[in-house]
Amino acid sequence: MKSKTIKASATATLINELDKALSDGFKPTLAIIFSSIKQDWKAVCNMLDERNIKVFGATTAGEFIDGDIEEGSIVVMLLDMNTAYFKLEFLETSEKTTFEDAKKLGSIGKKTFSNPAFILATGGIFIDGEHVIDGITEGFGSEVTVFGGMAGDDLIAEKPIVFTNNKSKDNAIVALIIDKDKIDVRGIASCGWEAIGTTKTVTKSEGNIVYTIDDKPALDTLMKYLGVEVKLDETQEIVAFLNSWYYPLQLERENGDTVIRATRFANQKERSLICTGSVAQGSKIKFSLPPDFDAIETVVSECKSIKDNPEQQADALIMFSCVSRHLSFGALMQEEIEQVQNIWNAPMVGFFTYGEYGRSKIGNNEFHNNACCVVALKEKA
Amino acid sequence: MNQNLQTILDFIQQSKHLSEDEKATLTKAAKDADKALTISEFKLVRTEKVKRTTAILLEETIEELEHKRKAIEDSNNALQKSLKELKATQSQLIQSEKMASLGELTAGIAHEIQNPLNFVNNFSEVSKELLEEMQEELEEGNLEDVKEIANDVIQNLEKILHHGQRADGIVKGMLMHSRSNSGEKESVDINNLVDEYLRLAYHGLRSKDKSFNAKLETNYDDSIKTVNVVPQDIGRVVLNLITNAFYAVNEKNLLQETQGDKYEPTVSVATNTMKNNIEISVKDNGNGIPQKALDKIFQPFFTTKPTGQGTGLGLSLSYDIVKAHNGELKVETKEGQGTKFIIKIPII
Repeated sequence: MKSKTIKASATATLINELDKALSDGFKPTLAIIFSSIKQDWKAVCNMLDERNIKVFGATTAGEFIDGDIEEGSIVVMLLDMNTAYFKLEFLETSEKTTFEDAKKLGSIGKKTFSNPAFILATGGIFIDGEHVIDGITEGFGSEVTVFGGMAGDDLIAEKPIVFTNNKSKDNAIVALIIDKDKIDVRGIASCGWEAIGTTKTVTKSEGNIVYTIDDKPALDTLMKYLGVEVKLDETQEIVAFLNSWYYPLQLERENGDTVIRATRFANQKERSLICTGSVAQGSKIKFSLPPDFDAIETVVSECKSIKDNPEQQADALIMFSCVSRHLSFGALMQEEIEQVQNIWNAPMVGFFTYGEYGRSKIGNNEFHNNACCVVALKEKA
Repeated sequence: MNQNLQTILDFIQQSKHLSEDEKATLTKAAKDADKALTISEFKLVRTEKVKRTTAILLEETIEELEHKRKAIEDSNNALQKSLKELKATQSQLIQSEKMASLGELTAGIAHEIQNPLNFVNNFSEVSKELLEEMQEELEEGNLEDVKEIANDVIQNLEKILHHGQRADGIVKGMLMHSRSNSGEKESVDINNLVDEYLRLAYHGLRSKDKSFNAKLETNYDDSIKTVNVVPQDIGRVVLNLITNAFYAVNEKNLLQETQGDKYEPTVSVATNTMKNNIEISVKDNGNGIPQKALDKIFQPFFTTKPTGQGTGLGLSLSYDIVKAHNGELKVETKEGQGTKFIIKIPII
């Protein structure tokens, strides 16, 4: 399987790049598009549709091909994957029906291939990522392979969109279901954020809304302990809480594993926090700080660990990296992406996400925040 | 790009003394330096940011821990208070139990005192008559008879003294039993102690219930001289076990009578020396303890007796007393056949 990556900061340039990429007779069947919300991704989608190329797309909070990080641009990976080896699904969803819709997706995968892998992108700002993972697991079974990310919208926090040919929506899931018997799909999610301070208890929560921590209003607790402020807006009850991307909550799982939950929004009136994934009442949490810069080495070494041997190759790489990593690692982010790509030395496309789906080194399939999730694809001989 | 580096870069580009290769090398070096500078600046800004947050978090965490420490201190104080109250209540309960067992003893004691009192009364009466007779003999000048009578009176007074002392001993024992425990160990003749409480318990029960009868078997090991124990405490344990044994055989007896079966209620008390320990065993041929009750018999307030007949503290306190003597209180029971309690106390 061959793959090529192209990028542009305008639609016209991208069409030129596409023509160049196809000029050697390359006939892609699938395009993975990660685009700034500002770009005319619909036009690009239509153009690819005219060429009979299937589209898996998401808007972003920054995008990259190989080690080149872009903002406000559009990046595309073209693959000539056999159309019998994959299926694209687009399911509209809502805050309340996420679990059921994801379960449906799990069942579709099960019916389509005996051994499928799911690569996902989910849109919207109030979709609970944990419901997505739980739903797919329920529909397919616990041994499911899932990787992916939550779409972004350049940190506007209003309407991240996912799209495919002729379909697009914020509250939706786009899934690339791949036949693992034909294509080797392997990946890992790695985080590195470090817990700090005392263990606290979520004393009141509902789904992904945390009302109280240690019986005190959650928003006030976070502001007090971390010295962060919410940008007050009298006209809105719910406001974006971008500061908290830096300092997410670390949730302790019963098996000893930990998972990060970013607090994307704050409810000024209720003094509650709206997280990107569920935080069960009674959960034990800690605050966390960005890792040292050498955490990049940890991510690189964990990514190496999924290879069966050092010589193992990949045809294409997809990376879903949390936007908080970009904010926290700044110019060093390029190094992380480059080093991960060098492990496989294959074309790479990726974007900065609002949440990541995948299996960590020791954990189960989880919905993560502040993580880097990398997926390697290789057609089997 | 950093302004100074840009100036250097511009200078390199405009320089006519440098070859193209040299220009390329220097340009790359300047760009690498700019990249390194950007990264360093970013690291500095982020480190400052994280440092500020860490300082706030540390301050808040210290405050939180101080609150927690205060809360723990408060609950610790409350626990200490509860513990004090609990200990006071426990002392009251122990005292109540003592008084309850004293009640069981009262009848036995009355019986025991009655005997010496009878002697005192009879000998006093006889002595009075003898002294009257002596007066007469004195008037008649029969000095030989007077001497004889005086000897008889002395003998009588010795007997009165003996029985008076015996009654005194019983009363003292009763007072010791009921008063708060001083915890002082004394050298005690265990066989005497056990026998005394056996008799007190038996007569006590008999005086309350005339129909009660049981065969008493004793088998004391004479090699046991004295053992260091708190006598009133060990006495209470023995009394409690014997009272329970009597209760058990009486219960079975009443049951057997209604069924018309033949049954001889028997309570056996024995002492033994076992290496560095002495053993006191109290055995009955009652109904035994049901398995479901066996785990609970040493728990406070557990009783199988009808309401008002048992405090449920007897065996629990007995257990504690034996434990305080570094000993063991064991039970062997067979349903329908009887129970044997064994007190094991080290000889020190």
